[in-house]
Amino acid sequence: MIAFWIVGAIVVASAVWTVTARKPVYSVVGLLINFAALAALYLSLSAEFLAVIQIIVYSGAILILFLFVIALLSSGVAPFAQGPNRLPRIVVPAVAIVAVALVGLVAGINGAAILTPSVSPSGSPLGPVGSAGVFGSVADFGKALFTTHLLPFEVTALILMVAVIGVVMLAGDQTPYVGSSKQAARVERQAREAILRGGDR
Amino acid sequence: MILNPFGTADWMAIAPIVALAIASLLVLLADLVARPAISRYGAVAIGLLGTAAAAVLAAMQYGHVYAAFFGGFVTGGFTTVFEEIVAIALAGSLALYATLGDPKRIGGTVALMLWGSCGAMLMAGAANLMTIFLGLELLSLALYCLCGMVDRRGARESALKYLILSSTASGFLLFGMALLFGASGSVLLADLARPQLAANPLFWMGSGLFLIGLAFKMSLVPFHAWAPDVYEGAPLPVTAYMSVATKAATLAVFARVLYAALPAGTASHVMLPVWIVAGISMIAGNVGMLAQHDLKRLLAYSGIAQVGYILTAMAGGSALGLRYAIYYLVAYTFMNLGAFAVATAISGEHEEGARLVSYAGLARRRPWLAAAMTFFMLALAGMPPTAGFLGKILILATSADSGYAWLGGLLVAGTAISLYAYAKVVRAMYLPQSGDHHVADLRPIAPLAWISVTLCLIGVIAMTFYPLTPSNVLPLLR
Repeated sequence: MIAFWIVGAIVVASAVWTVTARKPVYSVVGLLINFAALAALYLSLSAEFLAVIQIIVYSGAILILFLFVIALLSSGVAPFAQGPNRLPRIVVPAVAIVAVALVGLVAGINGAAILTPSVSPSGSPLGPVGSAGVFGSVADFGKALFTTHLLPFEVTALILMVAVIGVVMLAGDQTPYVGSSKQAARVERQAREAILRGGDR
Repeated sequence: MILNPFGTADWMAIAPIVALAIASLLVLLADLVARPAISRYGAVAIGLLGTAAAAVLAAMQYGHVYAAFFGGFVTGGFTTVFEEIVAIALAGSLALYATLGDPKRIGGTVALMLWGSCGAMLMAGAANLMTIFLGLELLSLALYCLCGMVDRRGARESALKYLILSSTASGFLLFGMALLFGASGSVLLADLARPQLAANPLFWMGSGLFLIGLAFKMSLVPFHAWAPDVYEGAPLPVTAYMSVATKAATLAVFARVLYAALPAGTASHVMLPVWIVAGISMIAGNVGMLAQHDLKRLLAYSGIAQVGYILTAMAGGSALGLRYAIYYLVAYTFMNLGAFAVATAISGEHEEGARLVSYAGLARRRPWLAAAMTFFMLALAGMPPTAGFLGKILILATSADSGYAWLGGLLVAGTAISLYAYAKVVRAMYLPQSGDHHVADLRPIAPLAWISVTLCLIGVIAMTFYPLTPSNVLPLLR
């Protein structure tokens, strides 16, 4: 219960930081803490599989994507070019996150161990991970996903598809529209000539 | 352990949705393989074929009540009716897209529209919280992209505004669902009807948040501010689609919750804020309409009020009320799509039909279009010879019957206010203009838009002569 309140406070505080931070990188750091703390929260609910997925997918993959986007979009923009003292500023919170994430995870795991009285025969503090019949276990999760909740699971595939196609459409095709193949050939020839002319100079 | 718990009946239940999804993949494929050869009419034709297939498949399920996927999706009369409304909205908007769309993006646009309709149809039959949420997100996500699909600043702004505000509303909805799940221990709507929930504070908080989310999606008044801006910025066919399909899908979810997923005796308390908000919407929406100079904004405010009318019909929670609500919704679908079709028919590249100025002297240039527009405006206003009038009379009768006469009174007051706004459009078309600015005829031939106008006209007129929705729309669950 104490673990829950601590982790809950971290979740809320880091979420507030994510929103209020002035630099986007700090927001990402706040989000990372948030995700790690959420994972700890899942652990305390003995949803081990969800916790691991949270770490791998969100903290691992999605946040890296965020960082890439921020780095690509704002390279050369003011907040990144503030002189020699900018590195420590970024490193300090980075160290802090790792520490907090680790502490959060450990606290979460311990909390889970306290909350789940059943200790597996092998003596693992996590309980019988993956065996059927345990709430939040991989087996139950998978079974629910592919039987009871198959329809929602399949609909998420459509949602991802919409997102992909939507982004491609919004980003737009920059080439001029050509109605016929003859027109296409002409546009291509003009483009090639333009490139050749440029090469002569 | 049974590895495949689903039979043919389960898969047949979602057949209309699958048909739409397949059609959109075919559109994308055709766009990829035969880009220059396939004109925009080709993409739209595939989309329309898919829509027709979905409509037929949905119609075949009429009356077969079956809870597919462990109660995730329920077929039957109610679902069929709402699926057909979505199909009509989709077909109408696709036809408008063929007239007005950007040929470069037509493949993706049509595909997104079809997928969005998958979401809307999913909402029509959704009987568990997860299906509701995912259907809503599928529809909304497609709409965010569709709103920004034109190279106009307003369009991007519209898309972003819709994305941010609608995501916030989805957050409310999801919080509400989490609390409802916490209270009932089940994601099934049917389990929310258990009487012991009435004493659970989680249930009350959860349903409050849930209803806030729905009220946003229906653009009821405290949560309506996004609608005019988003409608104005979005491309005209998207606005037409959004104004009908989102409302229909959200109303389907709302009706299912109201009629089938509330503990006995709680409905009048849980839903009271919704009725109050619906009453305010009828007044505020119609007042907001008075100041508009843009047809899309005008119809957005009109839509805010119309949702209020439809909710008035449901207020008593009677079976008759639901039938009248569906009747009015179908009539609204036709008259709203018709108005948008007229706007498309006189639009050029810059969507001139969206501005009220373009209607000046339309009666001289295009007497038939002007007559059709007049008819649609009269129907939206609820004037006597139209289905809109009949719908309002039916709603008034049922609201008086079920003890919500005050909502009926607000409906009459709202209608009176709205007359002026609708008359403004009609006046612009018929009165000779003093400041003789020549409005050029932008589009001499727009056959698809004219066909849509005609079909919508026939729809509204047919509704006048067939005033009752079939009675076996109920039951909603199981």
